Amino acid sequence: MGGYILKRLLIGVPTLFIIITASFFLMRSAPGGPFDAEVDLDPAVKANLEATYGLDLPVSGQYVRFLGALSHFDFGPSTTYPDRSVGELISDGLPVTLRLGLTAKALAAALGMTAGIVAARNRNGPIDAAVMGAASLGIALPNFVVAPALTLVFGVYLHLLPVAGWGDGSARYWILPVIALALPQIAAIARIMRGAMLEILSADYVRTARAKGMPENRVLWRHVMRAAFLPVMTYLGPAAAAVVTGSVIVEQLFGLPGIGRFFVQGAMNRDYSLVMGIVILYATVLILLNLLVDIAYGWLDPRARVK
Amino acid sequence: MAMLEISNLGVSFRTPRGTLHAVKDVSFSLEPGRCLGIVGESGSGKSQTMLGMLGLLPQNGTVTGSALFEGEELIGAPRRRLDELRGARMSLVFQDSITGLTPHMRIGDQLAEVLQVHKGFSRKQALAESLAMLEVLRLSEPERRLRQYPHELSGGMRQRVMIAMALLCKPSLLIADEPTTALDVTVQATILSTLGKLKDHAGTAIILITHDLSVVAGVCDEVAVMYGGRIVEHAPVDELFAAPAHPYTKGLFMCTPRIDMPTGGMLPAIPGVPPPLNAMPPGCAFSPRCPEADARCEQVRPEARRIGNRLAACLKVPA
Amino acid sequence: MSASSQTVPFTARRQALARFAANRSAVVGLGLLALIALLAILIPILWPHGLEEAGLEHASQPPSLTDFHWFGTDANGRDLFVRVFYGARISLAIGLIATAIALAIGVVWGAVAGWFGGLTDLLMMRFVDVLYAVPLLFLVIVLVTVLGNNVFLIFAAIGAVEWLTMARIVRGQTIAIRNREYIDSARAVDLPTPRILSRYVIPNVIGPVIVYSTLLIPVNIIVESSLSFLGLGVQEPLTSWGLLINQGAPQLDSAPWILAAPATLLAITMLAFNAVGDGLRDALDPQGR
Repeated sequence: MGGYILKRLLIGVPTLFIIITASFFLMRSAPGGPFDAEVDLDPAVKANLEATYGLDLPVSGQYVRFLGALSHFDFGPSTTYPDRSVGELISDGLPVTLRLGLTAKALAAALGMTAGIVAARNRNGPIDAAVMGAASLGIALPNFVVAPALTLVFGVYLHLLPVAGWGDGSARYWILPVIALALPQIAAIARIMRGAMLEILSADYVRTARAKGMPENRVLWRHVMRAAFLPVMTYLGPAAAAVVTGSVIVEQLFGLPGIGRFFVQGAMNRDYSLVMGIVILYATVLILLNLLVDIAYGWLDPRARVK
Repeated sequence: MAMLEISNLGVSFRTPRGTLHAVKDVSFSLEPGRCLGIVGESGSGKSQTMLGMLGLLPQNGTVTGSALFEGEELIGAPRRRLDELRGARMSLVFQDSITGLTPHMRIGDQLAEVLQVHKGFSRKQALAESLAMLEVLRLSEPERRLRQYPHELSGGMRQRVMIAMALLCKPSLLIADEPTTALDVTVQATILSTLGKLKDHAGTAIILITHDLSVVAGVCDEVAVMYGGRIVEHAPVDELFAAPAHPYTKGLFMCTPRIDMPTGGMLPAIPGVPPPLNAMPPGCAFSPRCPEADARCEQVRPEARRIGNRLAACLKVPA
Repeated sequence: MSASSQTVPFTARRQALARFAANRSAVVGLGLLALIALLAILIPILWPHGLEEAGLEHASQPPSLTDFHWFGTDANGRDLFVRVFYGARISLAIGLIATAIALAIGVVWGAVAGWFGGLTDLLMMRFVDVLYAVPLLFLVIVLVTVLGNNVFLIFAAIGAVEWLTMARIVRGQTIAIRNREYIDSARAVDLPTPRILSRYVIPNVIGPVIVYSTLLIPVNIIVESSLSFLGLGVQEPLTSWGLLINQGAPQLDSAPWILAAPATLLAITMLAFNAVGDGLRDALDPQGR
């Protein structure tokens, strides 16, 4: 097992390297540079600025310099936030994004699986119809529609929660963003869980368990549940990316100082180092998450276990 | 009193295309230490009869009639009571052992939980007992098997695990649904002889569902032949093999290779296919394929009649 | 029980069609999609108000039937009914074209990798694995900033990142059928490989591909809407549902219809596509649910 994890981590290094290289040259091939937006900029000042950030070098030179800095975890300075380094911006934004993303994910997994199990156990009944109807709606309404509606009801009309911002970072500020981020995932997980449960409940081995007199709860928890988690796990892995991308929108909507917002601003302002820093961060997180999913897979299904 | 008394058992399924009656009006009884073979083509309702009796039908299935097991009504019994009986007093061995074991549980745990739930054994006790049962069934390296997962075992081993599982609590009734179909001949022989010993020494009553007449001849005391969801003939095994009465039974024998008959060319097959459940003829279900059928057979459904030791449902069988 | 139900032998395709037709929500979904598509074509042509016809004297008017502002007007006094269906053109087109691009890349990529196997397969699928490690919306954002705000390039950018799962599905199917008898016989008579792939392999993997495509269209519509919502997608004077929602969100308190009109249509379209996709999946694969 340890060898397998090590091997997977080693494969992750070239993957990350390819992503870094490709994004680097992709970003540089975009028309315009970080200081083009300021029209009145004196050419001399602009040249000076570009020299400060190393942008006067040819692209290959910039790449070598970038890799050199990266080798000791220096992502370089941000051109959008002139007095701050990308490393500082990320370490400021990461806790916000992580708290938002992980809370939403935990909520989505817990509520989604519960809803899916309840629906499957009441299959074709009114509870099933209600849960699945709500789930379809949850998938159909993107979070940039849900979020303004939530804000309107709980923030503007009821004055229960703040409309936007992070304030002191207390729970009041992140309840609405977490809900907005989690809702589509709750819906998706509920549908997947229900489908998996129904399929497994009609499996031969479940009939065997019932035939040998196992009480229904034991059948569900020992014979059904672990297998039903598999498709949910498969979803949760790539859905880590959905938390990431979803948080871009939700952070933007609620004006939260997370990483997603930096990314959008960075991309629009051609802030090369900021975008690269965030791409590297997310790619690393995603590679690790995919590894975790595969490990969990092996734990859930002995047939998928590596020899 | 018989150990098992089934009367007028019916099984139906609600489907988008209406209600399908898979089993109709099945009645038979079974004494301890006896083995009943149920034969018939796939779709004749043999497995559904057993699943209906044990309360194991899928959600869209309904069972009617009566099934008295040791004097106790099974049809309509609460799930809790059925759970106490299933796996303990009456056990079921399924035909498909490939998918019949839970893939993510160790063999040992799947065996042990039967004793833990029914007998309140500790896990350790239960594993020891399971090990002993695997040894009885002559599974190689039984200690290792207990720690393995189903996909690490061969088909024959899995089938024997399934049988071990059914026998752990020493049930008084064992229902085996095609227990040897997927197995090679030597494993088949081992399993059949195990079943024979159970019957003779432990007094276990056995219902053996199969489409293989040679298996029936080897183990069973009596045979029920099913067609189109009904029992068309029910007789002691020697009488049935000596002289099948129902035209369908005759057809089955014609399609079975026999060692004492010259093999002149191809085996005959019964022409046609069984009618679909939603399009049963009003009369005898076999009439469209029956060489002896006439106009009356197509309109009048034959009731089962007793002729000597046997029951046959056919207008053409002389009383 | 009707005579036809037992005598007519159903082919697999007709059975699938019958199962789809019996699925009420799938049929309703298909009808709704057809209706939305029809309105998207006709309304911008026939409606008395033009797309850009502004008038600040009737800005942010609530919906009314009398002056053909059925969905009300936006902050510039432009009629939302015509704008929503004009946006439908762009959103639906992006959904369809981006999916078609993803389909083309994914099917070819997966079929080639699965067919040739070995090192080709390994390298091609490694490449897919690498791309899987990139958050897709990020890639689209980078691509859109690189390529500029051209609508067709947005189509292409979305399609160019959404083909990964398609490639995996097709590869798996291709490997599964590669060793079947009819493929052997095609090889035995020396058919050229591209012909075997296009005539024998791809038609046989198409079922899951159709199902996945139907479910990918709404995903792509959402991706476009997200981009437009972030200000990175479709720009004025064009419009799309995402952009309309973006413009409506700030006025949700005072003029909720500006958000409600495009959001409702978007939601209906999502539901309809998902219902059709689920219906197709159940129709083509009655066992696996």
